[in-house]
Order: sequence, then C-alpha cells, then structure tokens
Amino acid sequence: MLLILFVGLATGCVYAIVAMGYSLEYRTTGVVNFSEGNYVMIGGFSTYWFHTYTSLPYPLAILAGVIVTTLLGLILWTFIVLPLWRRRSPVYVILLGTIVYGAILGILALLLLGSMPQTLPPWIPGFELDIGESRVQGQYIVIIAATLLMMAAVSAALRYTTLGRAMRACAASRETSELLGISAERMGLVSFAVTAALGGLAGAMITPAQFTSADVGLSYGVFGFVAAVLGGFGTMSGALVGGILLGVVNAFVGRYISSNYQTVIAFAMLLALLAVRPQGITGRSWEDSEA
Amino acid sequence: MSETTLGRFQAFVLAGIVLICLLAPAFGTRLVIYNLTIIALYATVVISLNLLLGIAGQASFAQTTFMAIGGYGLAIMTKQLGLNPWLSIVLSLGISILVAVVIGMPLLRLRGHYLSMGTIALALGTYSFANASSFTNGGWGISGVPTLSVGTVSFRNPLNFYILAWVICFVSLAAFYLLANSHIGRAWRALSTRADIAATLCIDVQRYKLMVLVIAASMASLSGSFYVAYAHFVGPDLYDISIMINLILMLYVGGVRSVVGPIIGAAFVILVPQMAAGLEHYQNLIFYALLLAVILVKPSGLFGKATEARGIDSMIPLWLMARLRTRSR
Amino acid sequence: MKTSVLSLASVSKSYGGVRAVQNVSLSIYSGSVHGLIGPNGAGKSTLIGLITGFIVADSGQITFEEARIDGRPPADIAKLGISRTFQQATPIVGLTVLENIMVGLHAEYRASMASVLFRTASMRHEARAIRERAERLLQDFGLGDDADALATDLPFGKLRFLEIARSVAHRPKTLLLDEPAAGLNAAETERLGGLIRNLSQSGVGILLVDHDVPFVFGLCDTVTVMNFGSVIASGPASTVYQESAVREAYLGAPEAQQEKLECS
Repeated sequence: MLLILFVGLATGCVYAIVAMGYSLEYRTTGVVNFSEGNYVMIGGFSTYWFHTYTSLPYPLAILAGVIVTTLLGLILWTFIVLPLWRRRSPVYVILLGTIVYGAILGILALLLLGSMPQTLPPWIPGFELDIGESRVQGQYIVIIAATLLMMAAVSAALRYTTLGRAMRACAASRETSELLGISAERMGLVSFAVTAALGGLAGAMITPAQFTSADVGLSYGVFGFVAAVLGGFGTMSGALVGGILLGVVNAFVGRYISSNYQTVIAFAMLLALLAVRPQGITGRSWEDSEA
Repeated sequence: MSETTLGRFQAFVLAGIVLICLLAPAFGTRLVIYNLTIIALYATVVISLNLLLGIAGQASFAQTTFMAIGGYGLAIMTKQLGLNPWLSIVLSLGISILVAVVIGMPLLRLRGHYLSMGTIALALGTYSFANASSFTNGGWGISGVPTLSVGTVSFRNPLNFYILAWVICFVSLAAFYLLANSHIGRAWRALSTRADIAATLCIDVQRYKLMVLVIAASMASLSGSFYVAYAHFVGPDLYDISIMINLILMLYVGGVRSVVGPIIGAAFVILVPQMAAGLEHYQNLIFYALLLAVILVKPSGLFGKATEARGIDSMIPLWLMARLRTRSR
Repeated sequence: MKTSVLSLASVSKSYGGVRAVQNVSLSIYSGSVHGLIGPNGAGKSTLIGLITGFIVADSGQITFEEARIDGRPPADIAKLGISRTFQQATPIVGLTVLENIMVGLHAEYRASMASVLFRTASMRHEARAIRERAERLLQDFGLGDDADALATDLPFGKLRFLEIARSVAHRPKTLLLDEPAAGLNAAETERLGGLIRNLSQSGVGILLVDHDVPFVFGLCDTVTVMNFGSVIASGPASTVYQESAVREAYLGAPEAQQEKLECS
C-alpha cells in the first residue's frame, strides 16, 4: 500500500513537472503547448540512446538527453509557435500546431528507436529503502526530491532573478512589457526551452523507475494537463498540488480498479472541477490573460 | 463579401464536387465509393464544427462525444434492446441533445481556454469510458450492428448508402449556408466577436449558444449513427484523440467559415494518407508534415479568407531577421 | 414622444476596497444630451456598465421609464431601448459594414429558425425590408459607399461612425456614448457633433461620456462631473462650467486648459 503511494507520488511529480511546463509557457506566451508530454518521452528515450549507443558516462548521457529535448523545444517555438504567435493566429490554430508537432515527434521516436519499451539504470545504484513491509526503489525518492528542488529553483528564479521578473512581466501583459524593452519573443523562447529541459530531465528520472516507450508522451501530456487544471492552470503551486493529487489517485485507481479507468476517473475529476471551481484548487480567479 | 457567402470560386468547386458525386457510381471503383461515403459522413461533422467553432466561436472539442452517443446508441439499442434501427438513431439523437444541454451548456459558460479544456476532457473521457466500460463492451467494440432499410431499399448496398450519406451531407451544408447567412448566423458572429456586444444588441447570448450547440450535437450524433450503420461496427477507436484532431484539421485545412471547406478538408485528411499507403508510419509522418506546412503557410486554410499577415518575413524570428539584415549590408 | 427618463438614484459600487462609484445620482431625459466628464478612473465606464446591466450595483436604484432595471441582464436592458457604444469601436469580425448594421437590427427579426431553413416568403420579405432599412441608415451616416466592405477594413474614423450607427439602428430611446470623439480629427468631431444633435432632436436621450471638454460643453444641455467615483458638480452646462471646484479638479487652471486645447 505504501509502495503504491510512492509510485503515485513519483509519477505525480512527473505530472507536476509537465503541469509546471504548461503553466510557465501559458503565462508567458498565452499558448497551451499540447506536445509537452513528449518531452518526457524524448528525455527518457534519448538518454537511453546515448547511454546504450555511445560511450558517454551515465550522467553525461542524461545531460545529452536533456540537451536534445531542449533543442526540440526550441525548434517548436522558433519555427512553429512563433510565426503563428506573431501573426496573432487564433488560439486553436496554435494549439493544433503543437499537437501536430507532438504527433510528429512521437512517430519519429517510434521510427528511430522502435516500439519496445526501454528502461535505464537507477541514478543511485543499489539505493533502496525498506519502509514498513515494502522495499521501495530509491529512484522514487530521487524523483520526489529532485522535483521539489526543481520547483523551488524555478519559483526562486521567477521571483528573484531579472530574467524571472521579465518573464512575469510578460505573463501579465505582452504589450506593456514590450514597451518596457522586454522582448516577448525572447521570453517565449526561454519559457519553451526551460519547459523542454525540465521535461527531458523528468523523463530521464522516471525511466529507471518505469519503462518508457514511444507512446507514453500522450499519456503524460494528458495527465500533466489535467493536473495543471486541477491545481489551478497557470500557477506553480497548483502544478505541484495537482500533479501529486492526480499521481496518487491514478496509482490507487490503477491498483485497485483497473488501469483503463485511470483516464476516465481523471477526466471525471476534471469535469467536476470545471463545473464547480474552474480556477483549480489553488488558483486565484484571474482572467484569461491574452499574453 | 463576407466569409460565408458562396463566391464564384467556391461555387465552381461546389459544382465540381456535385459532379464527382454524380459520376462516381458510374466510373468509380468500390474503393472510390467507399472513400466518398466516408468523406460525406465526416464532412457532416466538420460542417457542424464549422458552425460551432467557425461561426459561433465556441471552442468546443467535444463533437466526438456526440458521435459516440449516436454510434454506440444505435449499436446498443439495436443489439441489446432489439429496437428498430431508425428509432434507435432518433433516440440516440435525443440523448445527444440532452447531454448537450446538461453538460454542454454549463461548459459553455466557461471562457476561452477553460471551455477548450473542459470539452477536451469530455471528449477524451468519452473515449476512455468506451474503452473501459463493459456497457460498451470495452475495447472489443460491438459488431454485427444490423442494416438500415426503408421498405424494400436496403442500405447494405454500398451504392444506396453512398447516396444516403451524400444527401445527409448536402442537407447539412444547405442548413449551414442558410443559417450562416441569416440573422441567426450574424448573431452568432456577434457572439463570437464579443459576447458583451452581442448582449447590447439585444441578442440573448445563452439562448444562441444553446441553439448552436444543439444543432452541432445533432449533426454529429446523426453522422455517428450513420457511420456505425455503414460499418456495422462500433468501437472506442472511432472516437479517440486522433479523430478529434482530424476533425479540427479537416475544418482548418478546408478553411474555417468557408462553404466548401469542410468537404475539401475531409477529402484531404482522408485521402492524402492513403496516397502514401503501405508505408505505415512514414505515411502518418508525411501527412503531419504536410499539415504543419499548411498551418504555417496558409493559416486560414485552403479556402479560408486570410485575415492575418502571412508574408514570409513574419515566419522568421526577429533576432534572425536582424542578423540577416546586418549581414546583407 | 413620451419623455423617457433614465435615472440613477444614489448608486454605489465597490471593488474590494476601491469605491468605483459612490452615491451617484443623475437623470437623462429624452431629447436632451447629458454630458459626463471626469478624469480617468473617475467611475464613468463603471457607471455605463451599471446602467447596461454588466455590473451589479451594491446599492441604489436605476430606473428607466419608472421601472427598475438594476439587476436585470444586459440583453433585457438592451431590449427596453437602452443602447451603448464601447470605448474601442468593435466591429463584428467577418461581416460587411452593412451586415454589421443588420446585427444592430437583430431585435426586429421575427423569423424563427424553421422559417430561415425553409426560406418562407415571410422570412424573405422581412429580411429584405430590414436590409433596406440598414442601407438607408448607412446612407444617413455617410457610409453608403462602404456597405459591402468588410467592417474590419474600415479606417478608424469610419469605424466609430459604424459603431454608433449600429447602436442606434433599432431606434433606442436612450443612447450611452462612451468616448465617441476619442481619436477623431477635427472634421470628424464636428460631424459627430452634428449627428448627436440630430439624434437628440429626434427624441433620443443621450449620455455623452468624453474627455474633449469643448466638445462636451458645446453639445450638452446638462453636465455631470465626476471624480474618484463621486459627483462633484451637476446641472446645466453653463453653470457647471463656471464652478470653481470643477475647474480645479478637472479643467485645471486656465493656462493648463489652454495647453489641453492646443494638444487636441
């Protein structure tokens, strides 16, 4: 039972990271990027590739994986979102663009790396904890710790660094920050790059604990999205709360009911929430900011 | 000229479509008839989306939910309850309308992104429910759905169904055209532009939202029912996320708010992947790459009226432009 | 024509701790033009929102033709004959100029969806009649040549006139104009003034909210001055113009006012 909780917390952390990505990108650019989940998949897969097919030591393989993911995020921003964004295309067009990009990434991964699920070695070899009667893989602890660190770092960066403040200004109003000399385009670039990097890292983290395969991208993307809305779309704390909540619920549903019902229950929760409290658990009632 | 009028070019294209439909039975193979039937059925849903999203501006992505109700409704009512197929179609339609009112209307109160999120959730939730529940026979789907027939005319004959499908499609298109160019359509456009403005012009926003949602849900439900009647099978994969994406793509590629767009878009999305058939994953890859190209180069779709600047320089990021300029000096 | 009165009695509205509108009373009579001036943030737009039903007052009463309208939804209030323009002229996207006016006449359409779908004779007759009415209105506003252009293609000045034309299409009894002169050049402003005068002479009661002081005082019969949510002066235009409190708070010293005239 405790084991399930840990699994839930760990996957919840990955959802939280994806949710944070959605929030970060949305607040800065007003764009919802539906190919988010693929960063997790790509991170895991490319780390696997570097680890297996090159002679890079494990930590560097992880770094390489993150770099690849970041590059893909940059490509998405520069060549797809940005042109549409600058033309002030309607929201659903940009959404469509991100979805199609995500689909392409999924297919490419399938073609390049095959459909076999893959795994990676744990970060700290031999790290296992005995909690109660269960033996918990250390990787789960690593994930939880790393996620908390990541979110703290991002929050701190947003609050205390110049770049962070510039991003928050952009989130509040695109026009005003342009007038203040903040390039909205560069902020968009940064937010997309950071989101991709963190997503890739999350992928490298979760793969040792669970397998990764070419089609997990969609699943993480969807659950991460639900987590973001549950916690309060656009807020950092909301991403964490929503992610953990969804992760734990999913783990228990998967164990005690059936894994098929995970999505059903996730969406039922989402619909219920939107009916009652659209701004999410922690969200303040802020209006749609067309950044 | 407003966007929804039938300009000369579109009228020409429409005539071409009608001509193809008339000639196909004489000159086309069974595959051609099959494809055209499927195009007609999907085009009907895209027309409903054109009304809901294109004209009334409601970013609702839950059309697959209503298709599923129509499709599963027909299958379950005929197979488990032994009802007459036509009656089942009508009852499923009723259920779709009920769902539209009960779930759809509260969702429509949400603004912007929340509406999209909520309806995506509804659509994906419908898929996962269909997949997981024993009521719908889970991932196995329901097969052996009986044929439709009217008197002695059986729609098992593909040609008869082809005609039926296109009749439905053209009727929907006519309804779209008449509504879009009437005061009702203009009220929806006002609502789409800004709801406050519509209200100050004496337009009852909630009533008009309800109207368009019910019409769209009805079209989708009927299309869903007839598709299942055609395939004699229903399964969750008919309503998964890629179908939802494809519908929006069909609308988009054809040109939002255009008259012939939905049919052209449906044809594009259904036929292009088949041209690269046999290459499986590459086929999808090429298709998506092509789509991306359309999105970037012609953001209003093939027949849409471009309202944004689409010069090539708007595609290049500013920092790159600056670099290129200084270099050429 | 009956003298319709739109009255606000001690209306207040607060947002959190901010008192957007405090104890405001004013009246608009048919056939007269009532000006509303005040610095930004004085509560003018909030007042329009309150009258048209988009904002619900915390206290006070708003009556129209002796019936209370506060708390009623915007579409209902519009149907009673209260019309408004918006600060930012917002044409309906995708429709032509003529079609925009036809939307203004929406309340006149009696045809049901069924008659639209079956193209009944009565529906076509009605559509043609309303279309002709819209065309005449466009001519009156000087937009006749632009009838088939896409509304979004119009230059700024014409957009303003389109906005106003759309809001008077269904012959409202009261019209609330939210900064209609903003951004117009001298010639357009003069035309606007003439238009407003014509409208009031035909019996419409007009509330004119604007920053252009000479414009307001030249046109209005009565004026209300607001600052920080409260009324600081109200009455016949000439009287209000003299009041020192008004001059201090809003018009500023004579030199500053001279500057203002030079800038506009």
